[in-house]
Order: sequence, then structure tokens, then C-alpha cells
Amino acid sequence: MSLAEFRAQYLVRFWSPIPALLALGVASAYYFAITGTFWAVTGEFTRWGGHIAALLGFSPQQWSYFQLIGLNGSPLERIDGVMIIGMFAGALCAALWAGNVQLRWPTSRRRLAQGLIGGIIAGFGARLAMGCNLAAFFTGIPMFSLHAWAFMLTTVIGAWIGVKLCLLPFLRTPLRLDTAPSSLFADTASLARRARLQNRLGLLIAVLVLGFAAWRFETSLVLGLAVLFGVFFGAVIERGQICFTSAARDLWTTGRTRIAYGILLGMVVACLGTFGAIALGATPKIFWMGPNAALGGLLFGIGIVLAGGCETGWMYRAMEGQVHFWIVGIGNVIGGTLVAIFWDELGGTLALPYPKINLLEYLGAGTGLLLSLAGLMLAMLLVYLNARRFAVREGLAR
Amino acid sequence: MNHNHQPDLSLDLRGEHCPYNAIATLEALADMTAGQVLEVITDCAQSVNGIPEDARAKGYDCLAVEQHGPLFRFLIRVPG
Repeated sequence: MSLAEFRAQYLVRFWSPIPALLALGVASAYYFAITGTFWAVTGEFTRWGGHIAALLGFSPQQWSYFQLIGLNGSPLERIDGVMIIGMFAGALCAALWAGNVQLRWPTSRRRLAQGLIGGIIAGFGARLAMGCNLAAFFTGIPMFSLHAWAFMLTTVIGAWIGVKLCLLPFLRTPLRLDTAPSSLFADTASLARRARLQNRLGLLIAVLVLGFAAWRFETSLVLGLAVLFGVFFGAVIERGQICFTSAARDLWTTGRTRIAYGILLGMVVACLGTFGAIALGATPKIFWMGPNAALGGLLFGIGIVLAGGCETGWMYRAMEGQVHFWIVGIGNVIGGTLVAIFWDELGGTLALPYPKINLLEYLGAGTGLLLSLAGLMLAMLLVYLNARRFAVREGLAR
Repeated sequence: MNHNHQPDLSLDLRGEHCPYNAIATLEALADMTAGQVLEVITDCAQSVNGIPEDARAKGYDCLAVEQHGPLFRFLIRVPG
């Protein structure tokens, strides 16, 4: 296999999402076993909001939310912080090697506003529930915390509302149809030049992030490993185009199934891994089973569909140069920070009075695991049955 | 990478994100007649997962999915 063939096969062509999600499920269980925390991003984005608030002269260290999730040091000294830097680098590197980086401008200001508002709603909902598509869902259910199930359910309901909003006439743009084939692909020489340049830039990013990991390994093994895990997570979500938003939203738009099956299967393998880690002594992260989880999921579902992407979704798309998703990211930080500002009122009524339910303790370890797996299987069945609503009957195409 | 099928219509969806590109594709196809071919251009990589899956689920033939750096081109035919 020549280098050009290898590149076309593995670096340019996108990977199938189901194996990619299985790999993410396995890696997320290792990540938990090694670092003691789960693969998560929004908590750290909210801390970035806290750092900005500190620069503006506030004292976020005294806010109750940051006493809860911690605001010590800088992102470079926190597991979540260096993992996220690794994720951005991994996604950027993967996108460059695919020749898939370009500044892409949104079609209208209305879309940008939609992205910002959606991002704020999603960031707010995620932090209210103490996690996004990761910590309250993909890596939350494998913590055996009951609140993650509530979050998953209400996210799907919120996505339905989001779809209704998205398809309102004032958010639609007219179709740009032409009878002549597109002339965008005529200039193959400049495409090849771009690809060569992006290859080199990708190599540069790879070297820089390995240097960064080496520097973090000098401080501690866990920080160095967190960088490497981040690179893996970021590269795989870009290569597989892993869009959690699509999994929830397209149950309602076109009845897509592939990514939803992949996410549920990824959680099955993650559950097996985290169960083992917990049996060996790791402490799972369990959060309140209160209205905050259900309400947070609902808002998150609405917000991600409006914005067009959730937290992991905007991260890799932002690295591909999609300007829209830079704005969504800024919205997420604003939304998360709003939860931190109003946590005394929000948490005091919606979260703190409610119990933290660990399914492994509540039901017994074996039963807790089996019921979690059965729940994921049931969810797959529901995805399958839902898709049948959209299927066209044989011989009656369209 | 070039495909022999000559498109009858070309839909430019650059700058649009999901779900709009999949929905716009299905809307454009709904107005076409049997045997016609639609060319779709997007710059959102996620559409590589979405557009072919949705088009096939609705009974259309997805003839080609091409990657040209940051641009993606699909050829979809109305069966008949």
C-alpha cells in the first residue's frame, strides 16, 4: 500500500461510527480507571468562565458552584484541562490530515444568533444536570448514576422540541438550486496543494501535542496520560464524525439509527469496564437524582438541536474551521457560567435536597449492572421501532 | 473521483449545518421526477454520515459520495 493509498483509506475517508464509538467506550472506561474522573468537558468549560470572571474582578472561588466542582490552579494543572487541550489538538490534527480544515462561514446572521442562543441553552442545561452528552450520558450511565438515565430520556424529548423550533419558517433558508453541475471541483491542482500544506501542519500539531504531553508527564503520570487520552478522544470523534446531537435529533427528523446504536453499544462496553474499575476500588461519580437532571436534559436537548451540535460536536467542528461552532462554544461557556452564578438558588431548590442514587448500591452490584445493560438494550429496541415510522414501504419509494 | 452521471440539478448547501442539509436534500429530491439525478454540495463533514443514510431510507439511490478536501459531493438519483 502506497502512502497515498494509506492516506486516502485511513486519514481522509471517514471511519465507520459504530466501531469508533465502541473504541470510545473502551477508552473512556480506561480513562476513568486511570484518572479517577470521567471523560467530561463542560465542567472545565465552566471553570474557564470562572477564570474570565476572576479577570473581570469577581471572586468566583467563593461561588458555591466552584466550591463544588473546584477551581484550583490553571487548566494546565487540571486533568480535565489538559485532556481538553489534547482533544482540540487531536481533532485538529485529524482534520488537517484529512485536508478537511477550512474557514467555513455561516449562511446568515440569523444562523449565528441561533448558534449562540442554542449554545447558551445547552451549556446551561448541561451544567444544571452536572454534565453534558458525556458526563450525564455517555460516561454518566456507565457511572451507574440514576440521574444520567433521567438526563438521557429528557434530552431526547428536548431534541423533539428543538426540531420543531429549527423547522420554523423563519429559520429556514431558501434552497440554492442550479441546473448546471457545480464548478467548485474543477481546480484539482489547488486542492492537492492545500492537502500537502495541511499534511505538514498536521505533523506540526502532532509534534507540538506530544511535546506538551511530555511536559505534563514531568509533573505527573496522570496529567501526561490525560493529554494522550484527549488526543485519542478528539481524533476519533473527528474521524468518525461522532455527533451525539444527530443521535437524539434525527430520531425525530428522518429516523436515523446508526449513531444512536453506536452510542448505546459504546455505553454497553463502557459499563463493563467501569464496573470492573469500581469493583477494584475506583469511586464512581454520582449526582443528585433531582429535577435538575430532568430539566437540564430537556434544555440541553433543545439547545443542542438549535445550535446544531453538542459539546463534543462543536469541539471537532470548530477545529475543522466551522465558524458557526466557535460561536456555539462561546455560548456553552456563557451558559455554564450562568449556572455557576445562580447555583445557590438553582442547586438549593432543584438539586441539593435530592438523593444521589448509585444503582450498584441501590440495587446490588450484579443487578445494577444487569439492569443498566437491559436498559441500554431496550433503548436500542426503541430506536429500531422509531425508525420504522420513517421507513418507506417496498415498491412505494418516497 | 469524477462520476459519469450527469446531474440534472445541483444543490449548494455550503455553510449550512445539520439537520438543514439533510432536510433540504430530501425537499429538493421530492420535487424531482423519476430518473433525474441531484448533485448536493456541502462543507459539513457530518453530512457524509447523514445524507446517504437518509436518502437511502427514503428509497432514493445514492450513486456517489465524494470528498474533495473540505467539500463533499453527493449524487442521488430518483428511482424509476
